[in-house]
Amino acid sequence: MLSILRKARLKDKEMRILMLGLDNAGKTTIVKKIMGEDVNTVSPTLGFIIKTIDYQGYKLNIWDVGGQKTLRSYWRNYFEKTDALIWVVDTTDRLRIDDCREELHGLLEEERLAGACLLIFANKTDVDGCMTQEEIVTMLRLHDIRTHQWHVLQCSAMTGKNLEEGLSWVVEDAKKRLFLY
Amino acid sequence: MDPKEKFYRHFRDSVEGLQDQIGQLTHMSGIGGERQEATDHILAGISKLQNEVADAAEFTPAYDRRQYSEAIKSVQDKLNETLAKVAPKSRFQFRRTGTDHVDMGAPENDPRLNPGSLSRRPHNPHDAPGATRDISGEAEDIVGDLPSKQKDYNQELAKPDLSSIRKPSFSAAQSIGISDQTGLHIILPSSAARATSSGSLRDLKNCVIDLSIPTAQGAPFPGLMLKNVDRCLIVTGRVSGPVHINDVSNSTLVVIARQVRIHNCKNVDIYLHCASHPIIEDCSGMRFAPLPSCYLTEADESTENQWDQVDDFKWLKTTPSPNWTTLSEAQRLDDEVWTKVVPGKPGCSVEQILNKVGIPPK
Repeated sequence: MLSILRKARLKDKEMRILMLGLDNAGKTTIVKKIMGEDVNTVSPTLGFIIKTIDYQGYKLNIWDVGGQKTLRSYWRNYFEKTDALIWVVDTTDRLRIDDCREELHGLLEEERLAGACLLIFANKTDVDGCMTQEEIVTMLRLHDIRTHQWHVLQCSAMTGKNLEEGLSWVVEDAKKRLFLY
Repeated sequence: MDPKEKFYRHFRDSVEGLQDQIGQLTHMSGIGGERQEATDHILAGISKLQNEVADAAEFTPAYDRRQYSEAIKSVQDKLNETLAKVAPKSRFQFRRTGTDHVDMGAPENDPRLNPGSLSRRPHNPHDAPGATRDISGEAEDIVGDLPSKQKDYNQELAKPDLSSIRKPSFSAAQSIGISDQTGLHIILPSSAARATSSGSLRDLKNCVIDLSIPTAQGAPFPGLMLKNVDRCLIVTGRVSGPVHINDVSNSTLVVIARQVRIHNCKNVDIYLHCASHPIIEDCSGMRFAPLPSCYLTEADESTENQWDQVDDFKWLKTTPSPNWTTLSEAQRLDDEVWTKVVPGKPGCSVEQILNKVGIPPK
């Protein structure tokens, strides 16, 4: 039933993308950068922000939900009808990478996210001493993920590196999984 | 009650208290002055008791007096014994209590490899690897072929010194990490400007710390983390990225940053320049004020200061949050405090500085 609804929406060329991650991962900054807005005055997100982006003829509704501890329990309210999950990781934050893994694996057990693909944005790779792609894959135990298609991209919300590529992967993956007539 | 009886009880309680304190000495860390402070406290207690016994001489019989002085002597002996027992241990301690990640079996922590007095292990796990990349060539305290070791500025800081103000150079470090310090006045000199990765300040008590000098002209820190701080005055300097302030209590902070996140804090005054909304979560008794003008640089003037636009994630109602207020102009500290008192001067103790900035006494 859900997949039928999804297909119907894909016909309208509309996708719902949920952007999650720990606080200070850079979720809002990524969205702002994609939208071409000023990234220097980003405040920690209280609640959520919805942005609609037109990309390759698709309407991408990006739901950017705050990552502070208090807000994480509300994440579940946004799971419904999500086509793609973007998990943002702060590659400079080695101290909380364990927290980051726990939260991610907890999310993937959610039934309502079962149909979504998973893009991992390894953010802040413009900063010296950040974690490498391999480190991220091992630290987050991505190879243990059996339930979702996943893809890691090294990006930087400050320079804009790989952000477009991330969106295009999300759209391509959705096209492949959900037939379009 | 009979004064004789009353004094006997008081004496007995005091001796018991002292013996307890002596017993606790063994669990305390030798470095950072914690044990020294406790020892001083016990010695003071003993001499107070001696004076009390002398004062009480007029109503205590000779036999009792002898008993009392014997009891005091046994307490002194016990203290000496305990100190003798714990003292040699400190020679092998490379890290104070609260260390959960020092593996004494690891080669870098093997005392045999460290003939000098300084420990050379990387003192914070998150400093690596960027922190140690190009240090091996120039740090003069590297032994043999141990390229991944780092000078431990914290160990150096904790060493007793005649001067009350410490100025760790941090010149060979790419990241600033100050941890496990008590009752010190630490000023970061401009030689630390090479520290280009995120800094951390953790497990600090009764300290005055000023990191503003290297960042005032040179490069700002990319990020900074404060964790587990009590009764401190901390001037963080300029931070171009986020500042995380966790588990800080009864302190005064001066912060210049792009983003500020404050978690689990209590009774903290923050003098702030923030380019975005600062947030608090699980905090109470927070008071905010704008950055004192003496710390303002041209670079900061171009950004709007949003110090009073605080978002409390634990107060989602529209009414003002009870967890924070702003400091009125009358409540804020004078510029003179920042320019004259905070830099310290000879004969001015850390406690006096803390007192002047309004941090409540112990």
